[in-house]
Amino acid sequence: MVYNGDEVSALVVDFGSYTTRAGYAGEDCPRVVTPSFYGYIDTPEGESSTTNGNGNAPAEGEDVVMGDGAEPTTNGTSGKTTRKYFVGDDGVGVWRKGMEVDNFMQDGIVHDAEPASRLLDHILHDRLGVNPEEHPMMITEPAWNTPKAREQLTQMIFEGQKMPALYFGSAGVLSAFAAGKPTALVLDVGYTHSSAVPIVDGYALRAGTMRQPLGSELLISQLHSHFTKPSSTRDFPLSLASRHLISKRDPQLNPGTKANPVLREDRLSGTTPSWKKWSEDGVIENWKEATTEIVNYKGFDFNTSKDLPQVLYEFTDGYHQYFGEERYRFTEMLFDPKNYFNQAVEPPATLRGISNTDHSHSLKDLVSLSQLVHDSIMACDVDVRAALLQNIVVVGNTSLTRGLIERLDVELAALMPSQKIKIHSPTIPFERKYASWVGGSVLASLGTFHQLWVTKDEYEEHGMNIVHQRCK
Amino acid sequence: MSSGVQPTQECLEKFQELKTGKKLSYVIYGLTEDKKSITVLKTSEEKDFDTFVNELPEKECRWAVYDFEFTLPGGEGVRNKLVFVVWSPDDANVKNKMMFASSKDALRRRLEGIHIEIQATDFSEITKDAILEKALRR
Repeated sequence: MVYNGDEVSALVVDFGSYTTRAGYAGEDCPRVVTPSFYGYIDTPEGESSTTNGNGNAPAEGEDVVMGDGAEPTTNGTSGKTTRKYFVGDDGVGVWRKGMEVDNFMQDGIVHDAEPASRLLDHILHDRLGVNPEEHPMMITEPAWNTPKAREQLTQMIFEGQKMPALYFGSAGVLSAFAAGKPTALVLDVGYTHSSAVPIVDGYALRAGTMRQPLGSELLISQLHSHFTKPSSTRDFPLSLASRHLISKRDPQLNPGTKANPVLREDRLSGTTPSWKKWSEDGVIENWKEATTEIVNYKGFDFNTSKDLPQVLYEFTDGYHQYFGEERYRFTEMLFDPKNYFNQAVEPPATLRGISNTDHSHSLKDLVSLSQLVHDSIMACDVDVRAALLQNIVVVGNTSLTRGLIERLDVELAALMPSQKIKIHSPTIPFERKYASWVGGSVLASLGTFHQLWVTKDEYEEHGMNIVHQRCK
Repeated sequence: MSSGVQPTQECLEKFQELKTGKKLSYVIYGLTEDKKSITVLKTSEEKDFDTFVNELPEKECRWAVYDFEFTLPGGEGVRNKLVFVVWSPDDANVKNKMMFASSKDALRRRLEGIHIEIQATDFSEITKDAILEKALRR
């Protein structure tokens, strides 16, 4: 059976480190953008859960809480426990007593199949409301995806959801194509990592693929330490309390004075450390998105930074002040990790797992984004270097940081003064944030693409080989 | 990864004509109305470079082959080299860019004898000087 994208609408799912994007092929934008984080509560078997549903659901948008289909899972050490998952917008985004938070992505790869499959199920049935058996599925994957992760996803699609056809689209290639380029160097600056992937005539070159755990997550962990300690302009730590934990804000605060919000005592003891961290990171993420910028010259200097423009920002707990150099100092890490990544601050555990190889840098050996681009290009054949340099495509949510493209331009010019360099970056923000989804959406909607789909029948006959063979 | 879109026989014939005959000077390629194959949009005997560049629309992608004629430095004579142009202007929409980028290889690898390839997003990247520089380098 042949699936023709013109007749049967394909779906596109792009699992990202921070959010997962999903929607119909052929549409401009993903219909669903939902956290790749999930909540879970473990209860020893036999004990009835007291945390059913959610006693404190937000007043607005009373969607059915998902992931309620609890399934017993075996816990190696302490006998049987029942794990209840909470995925999607009403998963981690809702406070629940004793709910822990985790993320099923690691190093850009779908690492934890069970919660990922719960989320996929939620997307297909609750959000898109489709019958999966009627829709071919395109899944995006990073250039360094593992055979194991592919296999798990394939099983999820064919055996779990019984979808009729599947294709794995290379995220870097899709981003390059969406920018109109068969040949490009794709720099993706995301949540857990930044990566540089050379694409030549529609194929990602493994040799030049480089990545490192330098992205928003590391930035946020540095900011977390900064905000929860007194600083030179503030002699008290910030609460970073999210709206879920505040019952009443201080109404009339002066800028720079400590906020003493009334917290929800009823929730404090039931809040897990992982949920607390997740919610505080969200508060910082908002600050970061609203205020941070990157200076457009090399050699950031704190003496001149006193003159950098200030912005008034108010945190959820009511604390507000004019922020100046902090808006620039932390993002400087993206271009000068040697001086601005503070190794004394404990980095997120999942980022510590990344080791030094020919294709990756560990936290101890982070390089600037410009160096990453340079190293990636220099690892490629000399014949394609000029074309790559003139077709640098920058994508990823963190690449939207104000000033990043301009600074990259300055840094690359300094690094390779005799070369002609050109950076292309989608000007519409969602095309940059969701570049690979957007590319996958167009490709999967084409009637001519049908010959590339791996059908369920083919998979049942040939197994994973056919998937590896066709999705290159 | 590719779109599965294929060139028509005419695409290859016009290329042969350009390559072997001495008449044609450029061929402009695009997609058919139904977006299912690559087709010839125009052929021309006009040698003028600017006339050729003016054929490239501001908001739509194209592929083109241009027979580039140039004089070797030091009076060593006139040479011709075939240039393959991937035209993907910034102002084209994503769908158009995506279709052309993912179909390029299907056309390009069927055309033998191309010496220079240019991937351009605006008119500053497709100048006589830029092509001449590449022509002399090889």
